[in-house]
Amino acid sequence: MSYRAKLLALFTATVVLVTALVAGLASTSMRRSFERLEEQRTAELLSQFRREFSRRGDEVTRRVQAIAARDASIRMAADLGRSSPDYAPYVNEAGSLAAAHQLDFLELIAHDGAIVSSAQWPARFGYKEEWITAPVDWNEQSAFLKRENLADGTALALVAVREVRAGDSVLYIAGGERLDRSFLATLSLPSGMRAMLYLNNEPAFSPQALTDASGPVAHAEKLAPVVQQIQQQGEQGSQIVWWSENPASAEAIHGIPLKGREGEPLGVLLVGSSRRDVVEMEKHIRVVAMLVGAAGVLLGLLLSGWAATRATRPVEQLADAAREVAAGNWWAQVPITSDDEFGELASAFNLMTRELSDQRERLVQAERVAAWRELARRLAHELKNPLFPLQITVENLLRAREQNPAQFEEVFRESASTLLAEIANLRGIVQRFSDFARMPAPELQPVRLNEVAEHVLKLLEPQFTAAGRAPITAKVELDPELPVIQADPELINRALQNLVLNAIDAMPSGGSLALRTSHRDGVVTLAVSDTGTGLTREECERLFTPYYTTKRHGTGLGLAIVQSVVSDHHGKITVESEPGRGSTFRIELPVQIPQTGTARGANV
Amino acid sequence: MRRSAYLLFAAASLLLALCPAAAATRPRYGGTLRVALSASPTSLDPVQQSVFPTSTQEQLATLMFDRLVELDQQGMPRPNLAISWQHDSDSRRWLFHLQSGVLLHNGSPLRPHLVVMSLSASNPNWRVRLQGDDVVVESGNPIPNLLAELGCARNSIVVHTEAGAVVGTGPFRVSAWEAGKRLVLAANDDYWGGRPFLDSIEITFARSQRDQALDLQLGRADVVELPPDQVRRAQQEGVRVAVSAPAELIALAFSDKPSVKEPALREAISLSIDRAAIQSTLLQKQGEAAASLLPQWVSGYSFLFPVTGELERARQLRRDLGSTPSLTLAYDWNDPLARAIAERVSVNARDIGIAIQPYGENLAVRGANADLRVVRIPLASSDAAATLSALSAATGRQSVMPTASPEDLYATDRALRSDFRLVPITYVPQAWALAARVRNWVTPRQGGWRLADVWLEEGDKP
Repeated sequence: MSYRAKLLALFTATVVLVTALVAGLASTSMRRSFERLEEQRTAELLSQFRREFSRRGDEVTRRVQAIAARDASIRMAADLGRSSPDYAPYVNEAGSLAAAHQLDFLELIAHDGAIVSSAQWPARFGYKEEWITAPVDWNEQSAFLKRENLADGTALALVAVREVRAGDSVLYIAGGERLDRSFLATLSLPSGMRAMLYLNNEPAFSPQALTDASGPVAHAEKLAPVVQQIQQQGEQGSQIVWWSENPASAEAIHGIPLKGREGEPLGVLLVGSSRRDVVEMEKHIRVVAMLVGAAGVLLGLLLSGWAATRATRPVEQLADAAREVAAGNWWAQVPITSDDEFGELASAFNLMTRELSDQRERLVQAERVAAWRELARRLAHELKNPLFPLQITVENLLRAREQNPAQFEEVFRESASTLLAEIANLRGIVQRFSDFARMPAPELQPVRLNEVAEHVLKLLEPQFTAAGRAPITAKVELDPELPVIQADPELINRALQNLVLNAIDAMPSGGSLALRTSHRDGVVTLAVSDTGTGLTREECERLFTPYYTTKRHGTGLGLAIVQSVVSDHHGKITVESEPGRGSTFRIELPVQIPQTGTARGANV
Repeated sequence: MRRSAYLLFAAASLLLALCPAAAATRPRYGGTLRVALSASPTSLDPVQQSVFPTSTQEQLATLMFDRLVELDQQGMPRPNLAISWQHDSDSRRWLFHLQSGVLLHNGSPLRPHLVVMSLSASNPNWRVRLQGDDVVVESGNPIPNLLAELGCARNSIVVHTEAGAVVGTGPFRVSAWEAGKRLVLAANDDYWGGRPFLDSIEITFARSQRDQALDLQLGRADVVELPPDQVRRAQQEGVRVAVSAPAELIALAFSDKPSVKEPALREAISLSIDRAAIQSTLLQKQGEAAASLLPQWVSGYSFLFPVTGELERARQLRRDLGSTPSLTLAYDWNDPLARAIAERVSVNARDIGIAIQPYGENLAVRGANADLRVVRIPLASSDAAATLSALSAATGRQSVMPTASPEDLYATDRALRSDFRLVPITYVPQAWALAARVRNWVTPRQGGWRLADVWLEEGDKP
């Protein structure tokens, strides 16, 4: 991944992270605000319930008190206080009294707790209400919650009890109002809230016992956990209930236990608050946050792209300049557009290339001088050898003419022959220098390297067994699968001849010459090995330097020419050698020469 | 509502007291007696009565149809359409000599074969045939109480005409009939026993107790029903009340449904019922708690059976049963007393852990859903043996014909209750609230009415 891409990714990630963080904080803050609002609404509703409860209790107490204050009630108390009271005349009394005083429940109870008359369950006359005979001053008691047993089940009632005394006789009047969905309907609820009553104290949850102002609650079983939790702990609790998979269907349920006069659990009041508004607001916030985030990300991408481009442009310019230097443009410079670290770096780079150029110039000059000196030395050395015989021969001619004219003619012929030979030698020397100077550019064409190797071997094979020297045996190991390469066959042929001739020269006492070809990974290898005298490490290091030779009469141009040919074919040549154990020259050539790049650099 | 009814009765009595009393002592012919009833019968044929015929059906039958014999206040048979009878030594064969000159309401004479057809239809177990102009009733088993049986309403002599109508020979004939709503009877001028005093009787059905009280108060009715639990207060309020002896059995009738197939369950429910409380409180001490099938005044032995609940025994039976289903108890939704009793039975059963849910049903379209019902069974006869026989037949058992001996009656009563299919709760009287112009009202001990003897005070018609 490029530096610019990394920079872009970093900028983008930062923008996204910041945007997400801001959106999350905003959403959380909004949710908490809603939750606080919801808690306030719930608390207000519960407070309203308690106020309504208190108001209803006062009203029930007032009605029961009105019944107790009737003269008929006092007469009834007196009548029932007799030794053998007759309850029959009063068995239907409670029903009519309850209707007249708008009470849902009313029971007239004798001093022993026996029901004289019951409005809510007339058939229960004669049964005992033991709780009412407890030593309590009922006339001082306010209304309380009580579970009323009815023929068709139970009901929660707000009950007040008053005593009517006639002498020693006492008549209890227990009247009440049913707490059911009609009671819930009287509560003014904010939008999205509802109140529910659960009137069952059995351990198992009963969905039918849960009602709201409109009737039985659908899917009431979902509220079982919160109801059971409140029943078990006797304290208020809350839970969020999802009525469907839609999050907007969620409802926050708060519940408080309803307890009787002695703290016994009677039921649970549940307040449900729809979370639709919260969910929709969260959804809205999420959408807005996503839009803002997307816009932020887009803007961030643009800005970060611009910033990354701006930040990496000097680096790219440096890279381009470095590539130019690598390509040979030692004078490459980068513009300095700032005075920051990148400007300093560009300045340093420019200074470096200038220094490198100067040093290279000086090095080239030095190398050129050294080359000319070496050339002059080699040329002087090469020319000195033929010149000395020429000088001797000419002095012999002069001496023969002066001292022995009779033999001049013979001496002249011998000397002339020598002179011509030496002159030919001089011409040969000049020709080799000329050839090295005129190395042509390779003309590429498909070449089978095995065929070149076989041709060279065949051409030079007579020298292996030439007279006057120890025989050399040739060993050929050519790869039959060797691919065809793009090369100049003449140059390759010339380079290989040089290597083979060097190998022959290296084995004056005879030996073995091996020629091998192989290929791997698009590179063909040609190895020429001999079992000759070998080379030292220092010799190996200088071996390809022009005009360096280890031979007595060599020009030092042979291996330089080989290296030049290999380099022109984008290959490389290496040598492995040890003194006394022969040498191996290995040429590696690519099967396909790259189309670009024309630098003539030998790889050694 | 009951309180309102009391007030209405009181107001009606006050109005009647303020009316000038004619103090007439001589019967007078003419006038229409207006009767309001809560029942809504759909048929006038006494033979098509349901398993337990209602008092209304019995009462209507006495107006339109005669029987071969009738029972007097003491339950003794007296000649009616049959003027004399004989039977063999073991009471298997009875021969009745019919009076002559009796005309049906359509004017045709009552032929003996029509009597044979009527009795054969209502008593498939008997072999009824003609012997000359006499009617012979034979049975494979002795039928010593045949005369009491023939005095029951279900043995009324009913003749079906070709047009599908039913006609009889009673003191009144049908003038207009709207099933379940209204019946107008006209005096049978050719009645063999003499024309009744009343010109007609107009009976309005399906009137609630409140409406009946209003009808009486406003002068729209001369005779209305009075529930037993209101008799006491009505009397205290000065309302003119006619009360019979305990003449109607209120009982629990268990169905054949699997839910109540266990006799122990039925017995447990029976033992849980506090009959004394029902009688003393719900019925305001009217009638008598019933632990037997017959009231004390008919049987003479009813006091031997305890009427208070035996809760411990009932609970033990309940525990032995293990789990029990929730039962349904039906009652006539037009009958507040039946409802009160059903609810009390439910409360008592709850004490022993048996859930019974009462609900009202329309008797006209009675379904078969209830596990048990509150039923009212009017006393078929003042004769104990005949009543037990009628009960045994009505409950689908093999017909029994006990002798008149107390031991035999006691044993039969116990046997009929042994499976607890029919559980007696209380015997209630039949009571009527009467307008002041109604004269010569006689309430038979076994309930019902004798409207053929009633006459109306002149000038009292509103």
